[in-house]
Amino acid sequence: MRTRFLMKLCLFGLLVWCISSCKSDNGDSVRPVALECMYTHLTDMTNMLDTAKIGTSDGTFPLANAQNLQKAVEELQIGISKGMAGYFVLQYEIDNYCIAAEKAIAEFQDSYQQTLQPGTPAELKIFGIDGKGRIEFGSDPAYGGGNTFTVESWVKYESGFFESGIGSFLSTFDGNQPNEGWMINFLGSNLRTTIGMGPQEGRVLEEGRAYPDNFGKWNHVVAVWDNTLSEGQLKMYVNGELFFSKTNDVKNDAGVLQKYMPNTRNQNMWAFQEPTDNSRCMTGFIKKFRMWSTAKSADEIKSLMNSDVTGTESGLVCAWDFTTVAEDITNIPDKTGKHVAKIVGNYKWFKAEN
Amino acid sequence: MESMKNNIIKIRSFFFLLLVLCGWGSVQAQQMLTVKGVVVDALKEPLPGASVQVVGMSTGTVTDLDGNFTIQVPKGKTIAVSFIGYVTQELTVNQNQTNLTIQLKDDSKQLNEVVVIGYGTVEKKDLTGSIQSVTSKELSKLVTTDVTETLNGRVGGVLVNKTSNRPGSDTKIEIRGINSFNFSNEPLYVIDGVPSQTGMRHLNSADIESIDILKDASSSAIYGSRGANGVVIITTKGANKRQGFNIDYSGYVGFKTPTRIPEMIGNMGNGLEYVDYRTALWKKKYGDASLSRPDFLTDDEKRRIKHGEYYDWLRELSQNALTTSHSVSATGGTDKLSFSFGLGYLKDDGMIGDESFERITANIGLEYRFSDKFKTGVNSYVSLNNTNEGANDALVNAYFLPPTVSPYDKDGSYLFNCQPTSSKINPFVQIENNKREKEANYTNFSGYLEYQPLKGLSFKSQIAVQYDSDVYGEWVGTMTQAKGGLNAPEAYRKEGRNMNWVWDNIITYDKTWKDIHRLNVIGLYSAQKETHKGSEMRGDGLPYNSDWHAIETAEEIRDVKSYYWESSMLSFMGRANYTLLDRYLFTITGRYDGTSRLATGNQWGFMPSAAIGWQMKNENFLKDVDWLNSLKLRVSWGRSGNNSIDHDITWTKLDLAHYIYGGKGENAFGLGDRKGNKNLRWEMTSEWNYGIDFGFLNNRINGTIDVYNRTTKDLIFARSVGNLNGYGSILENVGTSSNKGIEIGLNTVNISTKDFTWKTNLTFSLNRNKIVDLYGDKKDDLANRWFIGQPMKVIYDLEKVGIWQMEDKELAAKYGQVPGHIRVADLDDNYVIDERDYKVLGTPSPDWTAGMTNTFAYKNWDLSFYMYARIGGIYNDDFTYMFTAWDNEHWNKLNVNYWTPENRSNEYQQIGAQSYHTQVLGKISGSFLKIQNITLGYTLPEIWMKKMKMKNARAYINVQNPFTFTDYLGPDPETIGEDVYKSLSLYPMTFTFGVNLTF
Repeated sequence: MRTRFLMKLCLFGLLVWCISSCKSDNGDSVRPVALECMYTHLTDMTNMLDTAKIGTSDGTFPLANAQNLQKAVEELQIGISKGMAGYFVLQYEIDNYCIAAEKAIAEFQDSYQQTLQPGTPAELKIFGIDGKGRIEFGSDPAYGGGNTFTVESWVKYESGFFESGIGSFLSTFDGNQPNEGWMINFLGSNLRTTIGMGPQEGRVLEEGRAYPDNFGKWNHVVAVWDNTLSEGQLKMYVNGELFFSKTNDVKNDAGVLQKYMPNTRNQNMWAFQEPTDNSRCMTGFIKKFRMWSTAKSADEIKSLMNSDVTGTESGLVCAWDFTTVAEDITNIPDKTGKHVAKIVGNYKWFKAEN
Repeated sequence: MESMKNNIIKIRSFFFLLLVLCGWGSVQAQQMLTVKGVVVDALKEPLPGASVQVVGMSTGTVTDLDGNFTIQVPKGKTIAVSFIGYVTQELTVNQNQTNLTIQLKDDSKQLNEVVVIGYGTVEKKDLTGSIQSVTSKELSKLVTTDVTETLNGRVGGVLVNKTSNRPGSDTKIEIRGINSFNFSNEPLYVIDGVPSQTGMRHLNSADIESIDILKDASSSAIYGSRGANGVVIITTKGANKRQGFNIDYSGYVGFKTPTRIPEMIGNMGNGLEYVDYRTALWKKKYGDASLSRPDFLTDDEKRRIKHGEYYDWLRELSQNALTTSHSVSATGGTDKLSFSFGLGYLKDDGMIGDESFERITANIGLEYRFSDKFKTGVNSYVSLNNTNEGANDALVNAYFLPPTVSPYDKDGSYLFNCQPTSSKINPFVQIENNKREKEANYTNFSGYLEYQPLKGLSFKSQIAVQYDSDVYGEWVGTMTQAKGGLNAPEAYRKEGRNMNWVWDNIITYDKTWKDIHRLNVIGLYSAQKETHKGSEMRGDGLPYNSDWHAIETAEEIRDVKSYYWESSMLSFMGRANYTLLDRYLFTITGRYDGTSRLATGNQWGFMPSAAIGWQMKNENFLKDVDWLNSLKLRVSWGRSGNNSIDHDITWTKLDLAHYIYGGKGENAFGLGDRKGNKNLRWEMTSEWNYGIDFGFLNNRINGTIDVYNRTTKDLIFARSVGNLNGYGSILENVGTSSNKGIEIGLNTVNISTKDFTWKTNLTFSLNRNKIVDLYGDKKDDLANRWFIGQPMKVIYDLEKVGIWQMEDKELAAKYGQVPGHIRVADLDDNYVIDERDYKVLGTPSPDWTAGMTNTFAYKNWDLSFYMYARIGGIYNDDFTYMFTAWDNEHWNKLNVNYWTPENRSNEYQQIGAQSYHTQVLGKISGSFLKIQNITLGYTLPEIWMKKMKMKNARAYINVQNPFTFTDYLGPDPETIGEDVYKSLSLYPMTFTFGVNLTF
């Protein structure tokens, strides 16, 4: 009897354990979705189209932009129809329509015509998102940099200034293997510098920190590469302060330390879009941009932040000031007189605030 | 002879006296009595071959196959019934007996309390060193494919590290920590007298008589220059012979199922959790607008989400598997001949794809005794092992792939790129197109001749040969992760053969003088030679699927290599064990080894050891202390070396290089990077060991405590030198390391009644490893992460202190961080996180380990459970790092407590926040507690066995790995650090049914 009881006890314990170890499926398979943002944006967009003055003079919106907004309205209406028909499973699908609508509204508003004469103090905004705009600085082996170089610029951006991956600000990067060139870029919460390393394929030295979230304010951003140092070869400075210091620890499969690989293939340098992978883009303002063939020290960077260049400084590779409306956006000379830049795609000069 | 003559005279006198007193006729009837009977064992089974002897006379007989005997015995005389392994029983005969049953009891003392100490045995009570044994009795109750694992937690000071849970995976043993930086820390394995480095995986546990682990240097010094890492002596059943005849069968069938499957996001049908995760990831990483990208969710993924069709990759890819083992052995013999024969078969299937391990073993042992002085014998052990290591990448891809994609196309066939937006291919296809197989065999053969010219003096000469070979093949088909569905297949083949000859000549003298002096002296001359050869090749671009064969058809054959090397050793060894008055124990050992691996002048070394023991219980002042059954103190010191150095370590070699000359490639030899050093010596370990053995309360509480202090000097390091002579480094004997620790073993009988007993065995081990010096200058080596005063292996990194919280936003900004990023310690408080903030976080070795077995017996039932714990230690785990740190937009990750603005987790960073210092997530604690084994057994009652003509019959059910308590996010905390692409495995819980039968 006792033996039987023990056996039953064991079996009961086993049963309890089996049952307790079975995890219940508590997942929900269907989620409610809300269409409200689509209705709101549709109302806003149709109101804009109803009230906006269309024309070619200052104080009006170009006809082409109005037509684009109209197309966006139609897209949104299709979305609403789908939503009402129960086509959407997840909220993000509705949100996508709403985000597209917001972008269309912003683009339309940015197209408000306000002519500024060449030479007028202004701020340059490049609409780089979706690859719609960029600055091309031409091709030059010197852009690749060598054992040392410094890239220095002022940048301003608003919330949502990059999307869909890496937002490239200034770059000579070429992701064909082995990686070549350098890139100041944004990803996630971070402002980073990425440089191609080799000769083994698939190597980059990449470091960053959270980007300043002072939207609408200028930031002085500097990347320094100094391969003469034993550590801290890659540094970034933001607004004169050390942002990070990174030692080259990139090795190949055999454990051999890799070297910086300048862009030797296309030698292009672009702003707001990566020259090779065009999907890496961002929208924002640029003020001054200089590249040096030397590695600037922290003190020098603080000094540069508050000074200007003539174009004849030793080690200066190139220097542009986008502080006044350009005479010819396809031929913007730099201060060294060696290079010209051109603005491609969507951009806008805004009257400089004091 | 003299005593025999006296006996004859006495008998004759006795007969004469009887004749006179009683008259011839009546005397004849009363003088000789007939005794007929049967000799049985404890289970009342007949014992054939048992000796029945009239005490004091030469008259005697042996029992027949049914245990029966008949003998004529003078009235009043005593007969002695004896059999090896049983207590001799005596019986005075005063009348004729025709139906006598004599039951012999097991001589457990004789069987169990002998410890193998290398080139001999010693009774445990006379042991002076630190040696622990695992007997066949214990092994028979364990279900394991690799007997190495049974040492974990059952033998103090032994740490068994598993590389993977795939069938047939390697295990590594550390005994009392590690000593060497650059060379093996594995112990020496001595299998039936043959020293080797093969490990024990190829052995069938049913064939093993005992495993004895020599832990302290005074014990292992008997193996001299190979004993520094400890010695594991395995004695197979073939080497021990018993009289009688037995057939044993032991077998089991087990059902394996994966347990502790890691919780990936959206598994078990909760796919919307994964969609939420991906949405959060993309929004944070790429911005809200990125969700409109077509690769955010493909149309197929959206369709599955709409219909709630989610694929649980890990549970679908894994499978239940069978494990089975069958072993048959026969042992027997007469007074002249003993034999043993065994066959074993094991098949252990894996839980992913075709993973499996299959082992066939056979052993035979023969001993023939020509006379009392001469005997000879042979032992042979053969093991054939086939391992299917399974596919690379398959399991890790199942972790990567999200539940929103499926392995099937619309027709139900396997897709190759089941997630077009990602680089990870279908693991089912990977399994079909990637093979990694190994065929290995191990053979041990030894033959010996032993001569005993005098009582207590013997000469033994044994020649043993060990041969093992293996062939490894790998085939990577086109439809694999590596070939991407585009490139032609690749094949790889590697083979190796190792031969090991050992000739041991042993002289032993064993003598006891009036129970006062007991002396055992042993001398050895040993010669050993080993040869190693092998080759490998790899072929790229095979024209058809020829597995890993037909490599000659490849477009390019590369990595063609072959090697041969040999090594030899000569040894002289002497050991003396002396016991005085059963109280004072002395052991002195010296071994003089010569090796071909070192250069002339340093080839020979002397490794001595000494130990003393004090049997305090046998002193007069403790003799009458009833509650104390035994008390022994031990102190020992020894020195031993590490011969696991490369055979060419002292050479200056030319390296083969491929030069481009005149537009074509040429092979040429140039200076190697390392300069040889003829002055190199063995890395030498010396160790003090202090031990106490005790037994209380009728030995219901008994145990052992050992404390040790081990120092290894002359560690061989590559010292960097200027490149003036073309060399970058030179090896030198410069470093010193130490290990200190304590081991406790405790056995208790908690309850003991007629029907019920409860016994507990407990082991506890603690080891502290330290670098004493590296290059002779007491300076750290930062590049290699070696620090004076720290353990030899350390995790040196930033220290994670949590996650930056919203209220810390301003402080976080000073470090370029935002709330949701990983927060690490800024050791120098300069608001810059760099190399100066690195610190030693810990060592990938437990602070302490413990094992506990509880055994309950109720009548014929027995229940045992085994718990094993490793506490402490910091490990680097790629699995944890990859699946918590990586934020790939298409892959899955572990479902852990990630930070969000609403959920202020301090454990894991915000999804998609691109936090830095994510490597700290891979630095994890290795602590765990496992209830590793629960066994319920039932032994058939004697009456049933008798009916079935059996001596023993036990059936059991067993479950392995039923409960594991750990913070580890992967499946098994014992396999932390697995190679995620090559050996990642799931954790099996195994339900087993088995029987042990003896006929």
